[in-house]
Amino acid sequence: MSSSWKVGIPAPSDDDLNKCVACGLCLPDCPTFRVTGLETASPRGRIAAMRAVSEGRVPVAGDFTVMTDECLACRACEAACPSGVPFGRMIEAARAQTEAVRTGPGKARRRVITGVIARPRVLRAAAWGIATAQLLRLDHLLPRGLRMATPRITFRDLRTPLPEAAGEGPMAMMLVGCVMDVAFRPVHQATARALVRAGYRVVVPNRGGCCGALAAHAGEIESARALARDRIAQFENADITVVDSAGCSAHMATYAELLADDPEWHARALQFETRVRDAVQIDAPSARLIEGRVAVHDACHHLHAQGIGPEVRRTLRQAGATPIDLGDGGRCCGAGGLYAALEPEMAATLGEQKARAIISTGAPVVAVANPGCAIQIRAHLEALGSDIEVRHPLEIVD
Amino acid sequence: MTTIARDVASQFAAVVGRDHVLAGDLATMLYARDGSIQDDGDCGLVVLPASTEEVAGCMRVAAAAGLDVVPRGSGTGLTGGAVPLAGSLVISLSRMNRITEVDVPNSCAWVEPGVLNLDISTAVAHLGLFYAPDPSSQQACSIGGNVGTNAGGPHCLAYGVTNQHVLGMEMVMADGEVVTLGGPAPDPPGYDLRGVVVGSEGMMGVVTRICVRLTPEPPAIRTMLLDFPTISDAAAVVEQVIAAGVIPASLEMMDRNMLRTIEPFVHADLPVDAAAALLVEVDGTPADVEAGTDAVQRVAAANNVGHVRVAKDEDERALLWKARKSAFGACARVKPNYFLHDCVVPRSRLVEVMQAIIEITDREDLICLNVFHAGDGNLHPIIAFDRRDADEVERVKRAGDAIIRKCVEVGGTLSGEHGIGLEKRDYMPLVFTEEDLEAQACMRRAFDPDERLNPHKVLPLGARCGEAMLGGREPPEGTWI
Amino acid sequence: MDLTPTTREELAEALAVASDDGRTVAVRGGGTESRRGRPCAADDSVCTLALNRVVDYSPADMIITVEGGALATDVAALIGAKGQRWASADVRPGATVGGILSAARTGKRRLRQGAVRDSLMEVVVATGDGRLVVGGGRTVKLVTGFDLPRLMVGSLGTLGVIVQATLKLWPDPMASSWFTAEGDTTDMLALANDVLAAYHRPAAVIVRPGAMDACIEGAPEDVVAPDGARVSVEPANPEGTGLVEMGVPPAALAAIVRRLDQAGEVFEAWMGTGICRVAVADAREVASVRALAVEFGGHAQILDGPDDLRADPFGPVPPGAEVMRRMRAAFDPAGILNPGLFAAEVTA
Repeated sequence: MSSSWKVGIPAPSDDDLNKCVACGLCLPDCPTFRVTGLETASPRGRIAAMRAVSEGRVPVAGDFTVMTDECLACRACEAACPSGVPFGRMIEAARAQTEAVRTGPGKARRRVITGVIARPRVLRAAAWGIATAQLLRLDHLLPRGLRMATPRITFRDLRTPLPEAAGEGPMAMMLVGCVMDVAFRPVHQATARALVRAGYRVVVPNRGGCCGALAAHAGEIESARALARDRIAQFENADITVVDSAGCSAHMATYAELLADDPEWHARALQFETRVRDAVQIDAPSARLIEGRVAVHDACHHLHAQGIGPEVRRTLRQAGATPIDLGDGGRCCGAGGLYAALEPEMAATLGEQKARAIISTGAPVVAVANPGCAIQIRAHLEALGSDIEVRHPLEIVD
Repeated sequence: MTTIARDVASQFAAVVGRDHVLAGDLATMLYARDGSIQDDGDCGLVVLPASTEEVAGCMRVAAAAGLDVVPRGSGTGLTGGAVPLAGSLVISLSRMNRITEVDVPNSCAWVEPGVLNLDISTAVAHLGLFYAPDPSSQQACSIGGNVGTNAGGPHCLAYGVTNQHVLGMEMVMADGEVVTLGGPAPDPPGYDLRGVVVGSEGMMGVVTRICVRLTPEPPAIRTMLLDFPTISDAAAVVEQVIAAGVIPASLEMMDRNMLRTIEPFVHADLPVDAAAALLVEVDGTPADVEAGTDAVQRVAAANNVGHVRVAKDEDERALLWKARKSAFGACARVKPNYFLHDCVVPRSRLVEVMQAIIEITDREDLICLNVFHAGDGNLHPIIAFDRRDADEVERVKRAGDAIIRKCVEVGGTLSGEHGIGLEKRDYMPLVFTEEDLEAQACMRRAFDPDERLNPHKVLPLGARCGEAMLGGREPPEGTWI
Repeated sequence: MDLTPTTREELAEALAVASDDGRTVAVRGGGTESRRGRPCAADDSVCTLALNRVVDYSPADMIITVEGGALATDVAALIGAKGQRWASADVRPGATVGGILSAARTGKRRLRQGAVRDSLMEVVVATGDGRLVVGGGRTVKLVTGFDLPRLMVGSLGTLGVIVQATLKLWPDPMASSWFTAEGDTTDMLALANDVLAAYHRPAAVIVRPGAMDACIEGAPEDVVAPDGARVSVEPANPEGTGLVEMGVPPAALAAIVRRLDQAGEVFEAWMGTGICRVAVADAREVASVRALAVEFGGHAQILDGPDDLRADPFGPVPPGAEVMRRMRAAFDPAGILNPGLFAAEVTA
């Protein structure tokens, strides 16, 4: 039987599929498996499903789409897999496939969200709308899942300027991003100051620009490629490109693979990748001394995708704080890009688990280095009546 | 693919809720497999109960409909024990994942079958307790599955296998009746049905709660890695240490191929030039540990040991164990697929069997890596291959067959800890006569007269227990047996 | 007819014939368990004492295979010479290996050595209808088919005769000693608790009326007397007309000791294991000891006693009785072996 994959669109490769020997060691690390107990909600199950599609036994649609949609793409399974199965790229390719054939309201919803996010001006306008609606408490009319997935945007956030150019030394250009631009400019401010302390000359583009992670994770490959090319062109002359969002830094480090089909851009991307840094990787002295406990939430795109974790703790310790692990094995908070908006029930279960883990540390603040996580965690802490602050590590030591 | 009738599916839905009955093509495809390479699975329907009552309800529906039932834990078994055939119903116990009671005064805990092995130890670590049987898949395998296969692990050498750590269980029988066998009180009167259920590979009932023994952490532990220029030297150390009266907590051997494969994955500075390395752990009181270390080092010195590395702290100990437990996965970096064998032989025949395995795999031109529980004589030769190469697959099967026969020839048996399942079912006549197998068939029918629980496993198809044997005869007046 | 066959085939043949003829058979080895279970009169008897060969002993593998009628003390001497022992068994003079296994007789060092049922790796059984059936294997660890060895341990001869057993052995400890202290039973209970807390895996911690015995094994530095205790020997079973063994959750033993002591009973509580042996004078005392065990979530069975004591040797019918019946029907279709031994509760 011939494969059911759509031609001309990335698909999980047979080589990758063949690496999985179904040992099942990924199951306990998969949040959706832990919540449901379902083989169909496990990495092993998803890979077996991909194989079934590859062998033409099931189509790219229906149950297959449900299964891939439910995956958080947190890549915790990759760290657990003794055979080195590259699940992250396999699920992205699978998503590209399901996206290509998706129809109906699900499709429309995704198109709208990714379309808005990819356009800075449209996004900013939408953000003003959201801020207004939140002020008027109209957001309570939204279904719970959507409401919790929407960032809390204040007018002050929206009026916060982007950091000015400053400092001396090698040029560090900062990614302004999409969601970071509308809801997290204070983090950019803190990052810029950290870079100056670390001896860089900070340059910040005067408006936002999405790195394309959300599009890629949603399977919109062409959009993702276009955004990647834009960002490379924008940043490739900097000595380093600094990204203060875990999801973005992880994604930008894969631009070469994304643009593999185009030799010229592939080469430029390879060069560019070597100069991408996540903000927490910058060795910056802290601005102030803080005492006390800081809970540390590891974004999946730090922990599983990039192996970043010790850096955050080091930064906090240098500032005199005591970093506290959550004791949840670094489990995904359920934000996962657009996940909270598209899979509200699972996102809510995981978000609540994460919030409880944070509360149990007894710390007054939790370090969160990713906007999606920050939105999710803030919403669920609030829902549990907690007033624990959610801050980027660089904000904490600012 | 066989499917189970709609009306029966809705009866299950009435028990567990519609969301917990899976009938779609994709779902049944996924549940037709476990951790083995058996690919003839055929699953008719999947149900996921959340409680003993729901399990009993499902079993009653299944009984009324005459369905074959396959219980499933995490599906990490390696012999096809959880693979459904001919459209069987699969009962997945993964949703039953709570530790319902930790009873410190009685050093035990009641847990649901879907609880993962390692999660038990994690949950009681703060009490200075742990659950001793530690199969290498312990972070993923379920305790229910462990009960089914009488699972082992490196620490079983001194601590014992699952049967010694399961005090009792609650079980749903084939007809839906719920029975509790054993418990914290030792040696109940009558036959040891509890002991018989352990290792029964899902063929006697669906276990719904398990009373597990909790063991106190030993006051002192020392972990050592010793390397040797030949396999015989390493094996001699195994024999002589035990002969000296020291039973280490575990005694694991890895060969050169294995060390070389694991090292790049784990970066533990393993002795990659040695022919074999022994990972030895001694525990107990500080005096026990000194005496044990002494004996090990003395014996090792008398047998050409290269370097003796003693783990200096908990981190190094964890690293050495990570190296050992990553063995199977690291193999996948050699070739994409691997076949993990499970053979057990008398300790005194270890070297002979290892040499034979090397000969067999060389002859079939296969890459073989060896790691095993040397203290128990339980070998795990791992043959790396690519399943897309049909010829190689054939050679893997031939080698597997030859290895099993060699083990039986030297007085070993078919499985040390993985179970018989599907994979070794047809080898049972190598170690048992027809009459032996009939007796086992009767043991099974005593629990499940209709033979609907995980049929097609363990016993070759010819092994039958005659009707006459199951009587209908009443026991004498005033007796229960 | 009383037979003492010299080969297993002979024994099996005798059972086959008896089964065909419907003649009941009492099974005995050294006769040490003859006062167990409901007294049953059988037409014939079969004695295993002539089946006493050592079939195979591999000290290097720490495994010994012996015929069922071998005397446990003979086996102990043989393996003792190699510094090994059948650690969990209650090796009593006159008892056969088969008898100890059929009666599930675990020794007093149960706390550290475990139960005797965990030591049987392979078994050859002569079934009630004369088949010779093998189960298990001759390795120290295995899961090859269903666990016939475990089924046989504790079956008291009602499923078949154990004609051969393969036992897992353990090395003798580096050092070992019993210690005894005397005093108020309450103080002895407290001392027992201290020993359990202070020593790593003591082999035995026993409380008797006015005494505590502990067996400590291991490295010589660790085998030191608990405070106030002197070197001594393994205590003997409580003496009386009969002997009852309670099995309760281990945590209940302290309370049970206090109750038994108050009632003036003669007992031996194996702290940490849940086992407590009580000397009894009559059936009424059996019932009250059993009631105490049941009160704490356990059970009690008669280990030894005259016929008139043993009307109700095991107490209430345990769970799984239907399965047990089917097992019996499969292994002893004509029901000839030790008939009536497993008596049900006799209602007053």
